[in-house]
Amino acid sequence: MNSITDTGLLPLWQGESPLRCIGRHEETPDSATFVLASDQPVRFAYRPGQFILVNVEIDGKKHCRAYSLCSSPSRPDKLAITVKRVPGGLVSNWLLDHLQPGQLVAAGAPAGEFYLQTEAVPQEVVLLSSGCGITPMLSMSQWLLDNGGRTTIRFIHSARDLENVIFREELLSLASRYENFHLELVLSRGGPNPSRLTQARLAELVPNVQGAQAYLCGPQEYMDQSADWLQQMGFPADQIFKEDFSPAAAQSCAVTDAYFQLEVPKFGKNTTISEGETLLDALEREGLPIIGACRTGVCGACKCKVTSGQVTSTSESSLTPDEIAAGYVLACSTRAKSDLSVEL
Amino acid sequence: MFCVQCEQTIHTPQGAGCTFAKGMCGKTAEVSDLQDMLVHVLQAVSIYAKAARTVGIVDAEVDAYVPQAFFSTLTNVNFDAARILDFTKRAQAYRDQLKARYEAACAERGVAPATLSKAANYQLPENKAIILSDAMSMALNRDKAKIGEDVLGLRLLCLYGLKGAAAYMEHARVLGQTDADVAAKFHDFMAFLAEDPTEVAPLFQCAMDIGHLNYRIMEMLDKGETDTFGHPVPTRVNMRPVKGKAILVSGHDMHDLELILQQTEGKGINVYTNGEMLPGHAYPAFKKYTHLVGNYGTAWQNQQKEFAAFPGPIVMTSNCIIDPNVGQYADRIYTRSIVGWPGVTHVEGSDFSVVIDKALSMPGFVADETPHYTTTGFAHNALMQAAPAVIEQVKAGNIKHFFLIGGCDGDKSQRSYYTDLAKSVPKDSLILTLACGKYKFNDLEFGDINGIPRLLDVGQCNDAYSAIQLALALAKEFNCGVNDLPLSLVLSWFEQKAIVILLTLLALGVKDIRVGPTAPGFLTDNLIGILNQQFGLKLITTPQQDLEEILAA
Repeated sequence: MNSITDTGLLPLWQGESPLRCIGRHEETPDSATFVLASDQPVRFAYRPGQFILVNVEIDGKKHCRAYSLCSSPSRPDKLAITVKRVPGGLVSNWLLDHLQPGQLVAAGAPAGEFYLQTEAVPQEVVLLSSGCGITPMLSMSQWLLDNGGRTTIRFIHSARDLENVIFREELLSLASRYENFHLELVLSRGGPNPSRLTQARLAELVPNVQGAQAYLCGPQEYMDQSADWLQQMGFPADQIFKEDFSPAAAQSCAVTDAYFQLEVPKFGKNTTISEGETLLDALEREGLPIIGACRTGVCGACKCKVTSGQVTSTSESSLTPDEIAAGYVLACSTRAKSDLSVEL
Repeated sequence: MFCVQCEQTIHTPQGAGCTFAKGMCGKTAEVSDLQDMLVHVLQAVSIYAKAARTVGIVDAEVDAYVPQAFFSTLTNVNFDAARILDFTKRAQAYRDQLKARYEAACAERGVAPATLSKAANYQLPENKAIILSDAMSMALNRDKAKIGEDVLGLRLLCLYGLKGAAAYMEHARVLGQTDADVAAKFHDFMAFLAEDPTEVAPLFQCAMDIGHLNYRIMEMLDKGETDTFGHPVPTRVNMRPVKGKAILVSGHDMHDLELILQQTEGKGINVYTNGEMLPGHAYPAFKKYTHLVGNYGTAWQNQQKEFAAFPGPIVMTSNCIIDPNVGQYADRIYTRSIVGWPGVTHVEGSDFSVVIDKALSMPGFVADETPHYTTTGFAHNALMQAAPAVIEQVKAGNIKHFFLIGGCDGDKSQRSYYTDLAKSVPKDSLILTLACGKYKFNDLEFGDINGIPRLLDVGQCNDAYSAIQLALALAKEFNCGVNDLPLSLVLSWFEQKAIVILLTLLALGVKDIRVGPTAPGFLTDNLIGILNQQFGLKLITTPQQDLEEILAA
């Protein structure tokens, strides 16, 4: 007897079982969507906007990266992620070069704090994205549309040009089929009217802020600027949700030739860390006792203290203000900008 | 992966529990899922063990195996996916044997076999990928949305408590102590939890019953240790290395310590205890081994530094093991019994030649360090012998309060609370301690009260049994209840042995226990509220605040 077939209700997929790639769609010249399903009968449950961890082995070493789901939990039989090629993006580039339909890929359970507030859907949802930050927005849009609500969706996406708009055909199709789906592509190059998002244009695109929620995903500067404009337009701060971890942003950090000294005095370690390497990768490479659980700046497992030196971090989500002030960082989301001394 | 059983579990805004690719202990999601599967199959064995008893079938081998294999799922015990899978397959084989015997006995008696739950008859798939897929549907939080966090928390309190009890059953069994009635009750609890109970009252009763059962198990373990090795006597133990080749023995299993001492005698190898093995020095049976020279290192969380610096092999007889690749000593650490780490040599049987050869091939300590001593061995016999003097000092007003400060150690900075508390208790107080939590202060000088040492190391975590005996003796002498004594328990928890000891104390009616450094992740605010209401159980705050409250009570 097998518990899966006996339960009646399909068991919940909770990650770490291999998923089979059942489809691959080239979205832009440098990105593709991978459709993933389980060989076993399972259902996928998650919140629109969450990510999964994808585990791959490259040259005998295991690597794990987070990718926002572009699929919607309203269609629970499969998952989809979209991967963009980025300079130095080890796992992203590997997936684009190697993952084909029929192949298996290991993945972890959906997670993440950036998701659509499905318990209390407002009258209007503003989805602001840039580049690869579009992926969770498609998931949210699809969920809202599949659930038949009348929520007005203002989908505002910034890209270089039309050719580089991920999900271009799908977005245009949604815009033509649903009256409540308002699509605005802000293209910085090409086309008749190249432009960038400005506060004035945002105010035109979002005429109503009462009872609305905004979701932002893209490079940090883009999100900070947009959030600032939205607040100036009257958006309450607690109705603006940002993806604190941006896989695209994190992985697009260029791998440079800059190397710094990394010192862990408690363990008598002196080594080097490159500017493109996360602190977690460097500490693991040296066999130091640090746990990388989610590796995406969510769980806080890899918290450590930088006692001297400069770093840049893409996530501080599980740290308290006191901890941040004391020099604590999440190693998975932190890169060196100078020589470092670290306490574990 | 969903694992919330230890104190260091991940806390995110979504809740407590390690749910990512790796747990905070270093356990991979694969190992965690396989452990969930192992628990599921062991519960199936217990369901049949319970049913089989109704037709007179009691299988001692099964009774021994289920708690032993269950022990492998405790925190920091076994990280080896292949061995967890082997344990599971063997469990299924036991289940199948029991099932066949049970059904045959029923047929012989002309009665229909009982209708058992689906869980009893789960069939382990052949393919590991499918096993892992099935395991996901066995995650302990699988029906949380349906049952709610409180019921889930109670289930986990029972399951994790039972894990702790299973560990002590295995420790007792190694010393020849088994009891069919204890095994029957153990199977009852396993079978009960296999049914995914949803009612609060039976679950709460189950937790208390597990506590009571564990009291009997600790009694068995105490008997096994004292019958085999004698009653501990207060013993000074050198905490610094001495020159010479060396073997380090960690964990809880005194039987392994004895085997190693026997086999290293006359070989020019010094043997050191580590962690929970420290109280071994106090047993009379080990006094004759002059090459048992001291204790090296402190508690488990410091292994990766301390073991890395140890110039000889290390034997992990039980929990806690952490990643030996950090510190690069994986090639000279050896696991025993249910302990496992991938790639680490596992020593079966009673021949430790491989460890001894390793010790002889390594340099050992090149010089003596200045000795520094701690004293251990205040188990119940020693405490009872000291009781008249203690009582006299209490009556004379020289001893006004007893503190039991002990439990697990860990690496959270909040655990400095226990050091600060021990340092801060009034000078007319005695401090009893036990388990590896003692390392937070057992190198400090506490002095004595008219010849009675102020710090009394009772022993390992299971020697909570001895502390309970002292409390009962004092209560009898002063003609009051244990809760009326000027005795305060301030415990530190980390893993499931501590959970079951807490359940034991609660089941015995001990009130006003303080626990830290943080609340178990599986206990909801509601459950903590209930425990506070019924037992006065509190979480620690600050040493100053807690001391003020304790002494004002």
